[in-house]
Amino acid sequence: MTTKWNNITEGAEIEPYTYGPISQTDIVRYQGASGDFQPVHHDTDYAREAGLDGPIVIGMLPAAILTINPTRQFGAENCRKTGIRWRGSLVPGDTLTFHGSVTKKYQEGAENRIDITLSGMNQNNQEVIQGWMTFVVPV
Amino acid sequence: MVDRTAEGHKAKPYTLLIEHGKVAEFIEAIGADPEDYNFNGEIIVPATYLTTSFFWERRVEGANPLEAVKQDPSKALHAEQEYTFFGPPPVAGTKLTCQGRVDRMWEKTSKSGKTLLFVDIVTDYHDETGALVAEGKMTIVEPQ
Repeated sequence: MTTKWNNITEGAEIEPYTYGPISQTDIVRYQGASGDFQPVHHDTDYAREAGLDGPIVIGMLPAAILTINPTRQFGAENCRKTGIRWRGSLVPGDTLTFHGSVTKKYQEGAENRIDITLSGMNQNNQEVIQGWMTFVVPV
Repeated sequence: MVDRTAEGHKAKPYTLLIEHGKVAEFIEAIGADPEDYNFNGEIIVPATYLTTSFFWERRVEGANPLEAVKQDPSKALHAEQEYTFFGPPPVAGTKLTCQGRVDRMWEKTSKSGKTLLFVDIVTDYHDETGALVAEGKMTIVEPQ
């Protein structure tokens, strides 16, 4: 059951969502599902040649996870925008927690809309990803 | 060396078929609940699902607008990604026509004084009726 218009206030928190520790298998499974097989995300030798300590998490995985709780709360069919800005990288073993809130409640044309901003933090409380989403909300 | 004249370049269109099995695989891979994407018996794609269009883009010569930019792939970083939907996001079974373009190229100076080149690649997604259903915007940054 998605949240109704009258029950939404600006500043309302989105339920936090935690994912992890992220495993190498999580990364490979996402790479298979998305079709992006960039080796820096799963091939240790390749990652080291690129100057890294080892594979890094593919950025589109946290980008997708970020949308899970807002989608559950406001409905997949109501999503009108999702955006992501990466602020840092993650490595296998890291845990990610998303926090977010409704930043704007407004009407556009005949539609009721809300904007949400989200922030993904690693286990050391460093922000690694920022996100924004827009949903239409049925009355 | 980046080709600044690439701004405005339109790549070749290609077709993306949103397959049920692929959407189910994607939902499982991100750890989401399939029920959250079930809407009146249809499967709505997750908000970042259109990233899978790169698989189809690779199979058509001239479909990747980034080729015209001639970036150094070892230095270029995917900085931002945004998807806009002009109605409910597409459902599994939809066939989309996708076309990418080099929308904008601009420079910024970083705090450490380095020149950064930003490139916006915009992809339009039209359904079988010709309606624009989604737009993807990828921002790539490359230190010069």
